[in-house]
Order: sequence, then structure tokens, then C-alpha cells
Amino acid sequence: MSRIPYTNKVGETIGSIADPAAAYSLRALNGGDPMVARVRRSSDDAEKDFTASDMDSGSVADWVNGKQDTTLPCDVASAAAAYSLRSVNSNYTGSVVRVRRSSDDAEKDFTASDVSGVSLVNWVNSAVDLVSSDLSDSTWTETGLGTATFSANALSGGTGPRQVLSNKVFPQGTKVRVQINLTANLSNNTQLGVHFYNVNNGSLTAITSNGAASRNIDSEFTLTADSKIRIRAEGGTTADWSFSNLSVTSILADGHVTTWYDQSGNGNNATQSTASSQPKIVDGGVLVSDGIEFDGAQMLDIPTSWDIGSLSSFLTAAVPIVGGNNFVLDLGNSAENLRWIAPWDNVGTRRFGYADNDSVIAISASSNTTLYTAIAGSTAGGFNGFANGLLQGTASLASGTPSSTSRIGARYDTQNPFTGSISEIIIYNSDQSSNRFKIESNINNHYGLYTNTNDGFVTTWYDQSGNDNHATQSTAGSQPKIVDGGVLVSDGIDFDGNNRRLDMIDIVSTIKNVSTFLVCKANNILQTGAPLTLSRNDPNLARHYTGFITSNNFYFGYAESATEISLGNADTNTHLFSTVTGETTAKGWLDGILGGTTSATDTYSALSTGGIGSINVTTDYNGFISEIIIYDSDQSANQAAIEANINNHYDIY
Amino acid sequence: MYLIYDELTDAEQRADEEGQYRGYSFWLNGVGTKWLTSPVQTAEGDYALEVSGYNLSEVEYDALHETITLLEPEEVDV
Repeated sequence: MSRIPYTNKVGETIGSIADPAAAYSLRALNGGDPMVARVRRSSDDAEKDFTASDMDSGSVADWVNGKQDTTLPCDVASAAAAYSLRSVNSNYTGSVVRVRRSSDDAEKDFTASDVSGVSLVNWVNSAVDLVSSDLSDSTWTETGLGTATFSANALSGGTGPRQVLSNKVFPQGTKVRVQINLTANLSNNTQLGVHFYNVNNGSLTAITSNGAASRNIDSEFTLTADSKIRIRAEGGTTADWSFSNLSVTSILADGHVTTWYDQSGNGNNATQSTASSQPKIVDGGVLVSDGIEFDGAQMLDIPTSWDIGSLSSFLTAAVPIVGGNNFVLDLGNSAENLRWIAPWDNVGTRRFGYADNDSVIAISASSNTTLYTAIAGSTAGGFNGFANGLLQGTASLASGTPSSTSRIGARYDTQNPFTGSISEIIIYNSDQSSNRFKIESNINNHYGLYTNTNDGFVTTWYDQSGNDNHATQSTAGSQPKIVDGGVLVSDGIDFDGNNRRLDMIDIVSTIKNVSTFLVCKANNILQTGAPLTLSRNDPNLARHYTGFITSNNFYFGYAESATEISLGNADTNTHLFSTVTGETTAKGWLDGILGGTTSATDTYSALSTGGIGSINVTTDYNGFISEIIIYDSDQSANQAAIEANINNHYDIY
Repeated sequence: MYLIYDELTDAEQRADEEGQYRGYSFWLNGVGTKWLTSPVQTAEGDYALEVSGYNLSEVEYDALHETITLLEPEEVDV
């Protein structure tokens, strides 16, 4: 049965027909948007009240699965260090990263909005004039490579092939625009060429092919190597040439991280002062998509370390499966047996290292962006490692503060740098077990890493009658379920037949002049169960069991017999069970069809627990309950209207 | 796994401690979940608390019972 929106189809409320003594449902029985249930989520035992409209909006499942956890990680708890390209601390307004651009090595700080907007990329790709335009500038070196048969007259005269080579090295990956005016007067067979000269191996990339004539050049190139510009005349016998208006302008460049600022407010900025070791944030003019990119020779240094006996780290990273050992985050020191490696990759196996063991936890590697969580402390009861919110393993607790500093992208001693990208790192010098779900949910909600499949349990089913007869269950292990594996239960509240019940005590004081309306669906017709009990057998033979199921049959259990009125064969369909007891008679219906009549009795035996889903601690119901309406009066006159209201909503028969 | 108590109040107190340790809503907000498991009466007349998942002390680990015999309910009620 699919869930039907809460708006009452009939347009009238239950209360406008008759005021119940107690009324439980996940829809609004009396109009408006009342509180209907209080739910505990399995992930962190947090609880929240929900209204009828929440039941249909997806809000319950979203909250259970952490999708409503918007509190930033540093607002959940005080962090020791926090690195991200988004804001992770509402109290931090500073820059998140400092970037050096490859075109001219200029550096600049950027905020989170600069990174997510266009400011960072535009600055990295700013047109930068890289070289001046004539040979009189000290940026050029002139060399003569003379041969006996060649004479040439370049700017400084002399013989032999004339070559000028820029001192300026234009960095690999930069896209440049080269403009130059060449004036040449060359003898036969003399050629004048302009090239990018690879400083590593001397190979040439032609800016203009060798030729004899004067010409103007305006071309764009993406440099595949660190290069100088070379202008050279050779062959033939003479060459008079000069150039003017040389302009080399960067169009697209790389951006490298020199500082990843700590947003915790503790000043533990992660830095790298060596250019070749700086990870990349802009690659060929384009913002790196998964955070900061490390190429296997790059790392950032964190200027401190923390006691591994009370520490939590949350790392969001994409780690490709490559050969060798690749350390992503190392807050420890293996030489001192104070490891905290969370994680490292060893030829396709992802590992957590802790204390004296490089591999306390080993999991299958994934190249997808993953949230790696490591927590150690007394609440955790040791060291726990998680991937995408799921526990992967544990280890015994150790303690001690490493004497070395910490490392992002490599081992603590700079060995085994990793290839991949890192989006975010949050570090707490405390055990964050109790906040783990909130922190992870906020991270996951931002990066969309995984789908939660948590459970939600009912602690209170609110009474909508206005009489505050709320049905409660304060023992976690006895609470029925409303969200199962991340999905809202579709047929009401799930009582699994195993010690699940809600306490609903003393709604009535007699089983005479009582009316009940119950919507439920059995899950196991072989298990004897009592979905709704107002009064029990002992000591006064005062049963009142609505929807009772036993021996493959439905019954209205009343007074001296649990099977007083047969309602037909049991099945696993949704049904409306109705009972009306008056002054002299007691009757039971299934889906509006009368099952039978018996004599009414003025007696009562109170329950001590249960009432919804059980009789005291026995006869646990295995099925789903959607709605219960109880009147401490004979509702014969209103029965049809009440049943119509219910059936119009649930479409049972 | 169970711990056995002579008195119901002692079993309830242990359930209270676990609920407080877990930070259940009742102990934080005064409403909602209070315990992880509830004490049950045994056939011997004492009270058992199912403690799988509890944060147990070493002394408690040594005192665990694997099985218990529950007190028969007053009646099956059917």
C-alpha cells in the first residue's frame, strides 16, 4: 500500500465525527499539521519530533539519514585543524588557500567564495607579460655558433649562425600567446627560425617555420615542457635579422598551493615552500575538480601533532589505485610506534595505520572520492576506522604524541607521497565518536559521497485526541521501526514480533461502551500477536484484543476468550478492524463486515506495559500498524462515518 | 549476554548508567529513550539485564551469564 498524502480526502476530521479518547496515526486526524511521532535514529541516538506533513515530505527519512545535518564540522565541535576549499567553520572568515601561479610565480590568498567562484581561476589565468621585446634587455643571451663558411650580421655583428636564447624559462603547462615581428635579409639557403627550446632535452617546438622573409607572428601554444624562446639563423652564408614587438603572454596557467589555511582558528596552516612540491589547485587553467591535486611528489606540512590516544580525523579524498605505497594523511610517527595513518594505499589495499602497526585495518581500495574517518579515545573504546560512515575495523587504544610534525600527501618523513586529490581534512584532538554521524553527514551532504541506510525507531506515538495519552517506549531495544535501511516504512510503524511495543495504559476503565478502529497489516500470520490491547485477561477475564491474530485467523478477543469473535482467515493485507461494545452487546468487524456478536461485560484488567504491539511483554505482534482510534463510548451511531473516513484515506476495501 | 541482579532497582540503575553513557534523549532532554534494554525477571526470582552492546567493566565481563530462564508470564493471555 503506497502512502497517501495526509490531507483528509473526505474533508472532515475524525474529531468532527466524534472525539476519541485516544488517536494515533501518521496522518492528521483533526486537520492542521499535528505532531505525530518522535523518532530516534540508530546512527547517533538523536531524537526528533515529526508532524503529519513530515511523514509525506521525506523529512523523516532525510533526518534519519543525516541529510538535514547542516551544522558545519567546526561548529559541531572545536577542531584542532580544518582544511577545506569550502567554509567549514561559521566563525572563520579568512582565506582558505594561498596560490602561486605558474606563469610568473606571483602568489595570492583566496577565500572559499573565491575558489568556488571565478576569482581564483581568473587570477591564475591573468594575462601576464612574460618577456620584454628587444635584445637590449638582459633577458636574452646571444650566442654565436660560427662556421667558417657562414657570415651573419645580427644585432651585434659577427659571423656564423646567430642565436638568441631567452634567459626566462616559460613553465610547462602554461598556455602562451607569442607575438613577434621579424625583419630578415637572408642570403640564399639561410633560414631564420623561432622556436620554443626544451631546456631539459634541447628539442624544439616551432613557433614559426624557418624561412627567409620578414614576417609577423601571432600564435598560441601550450608548453609541454619548461622552455626558453630561441631565435636563430643558420645555413646559407649571410643573415641580417632583427625582431621587434616580442610579447609572450600567459593565457592559461597552473595554480599551486603554497598554504592550505587552517579554518579552526588554531593557526595550524599546512604549507609547502618548495615550488616543485606544491600540489595543484588549477591545472592548465581549469580548477581541479576534487579539491587539491597531488602528483606523487607533492605534500603539505602541518606544523604540529597530537596525542594518538584522543584524536579524530575526517579525510575526504580520491585515491587512485596505483602501485607502490601512497600515504594520504600521516599525523603520526612510525619510528616512535605512534602511527596515525588515515589512510595509506598499498598496491590496491587501503589501510589505516595506528600505534605500532602499519595496517590495523585493511579494506578494499576504491578510486572514488571517499570519506575516511579515524577515531581513537575512551568513547570509541580504542581505535576505529571508517569508510563512508561504515566501520571497517578496530584496534586497541594507544597513546602518545609524536615528536615529528604531520603530513598531508606523504608519510611523516616525506617518503611515499601519494597521487590523487584531497577535498577536505578535519582534525579534532578529542574522541568525536558521539558527533561522528553529524560531522560525516555534513561532509557527505556537501560532497555527495554515499547513501545512508540508517534505521529510525518510534519513541513516542503522539495522541492526537488532545487527551495526551501518548504511546511511548523508552527502551531502545523495544522501539518499533519507522525508517528501515534508510527508507520510510511504507505501511505504518513496523512491529517485528520480537519484543517491540508501545506502552498505552488505561485509556479505558471498562471493556463495556468502548469502540476501537485499527488499521494494520500482519507480516507473519503464523505468529500469534496482539496489535491493540485495551484490557487483559488476568485477573478479571477482561480481554479486549482488536485485530488479534492466532491459528491463521483474525479475531476480536473479548472478555473470557481471546478468540471470542472470528473475523476470518488471516492474511498479510491491510485491514480495518472495528469493534463496538455497548451496554449489552459487543461486536467485531473486518473491513466493514460483521464477524459476530457477543455479550458485553463491564469489567477491566489493566496492562502494566504494551497495549500497542503486545499484551504486557507477551503476544508480540508481527506486522505494521498505521492507525488506532479509541473511544470510551459506544460509537454505533458514528461507526459508518468513522470507517468511511478511515477507508477513504487508506483505500482498504 | 546477561548481568544478574538481586534487586530490580539495581538492574534499573545499571540500565540508567548505560543510557546516560549513550546520551539518550531522556538524559539530555528529559524525554524520549532512556534505556538500551530493560530488566526482566528470571525464574529464580532475580532480575536479568541483557547487556550485549553495553560498555562493560572488566568485573562485569567476568560476571556475564550466557543464558537465563525467564519467569513464565502470568499467562499467555490467549
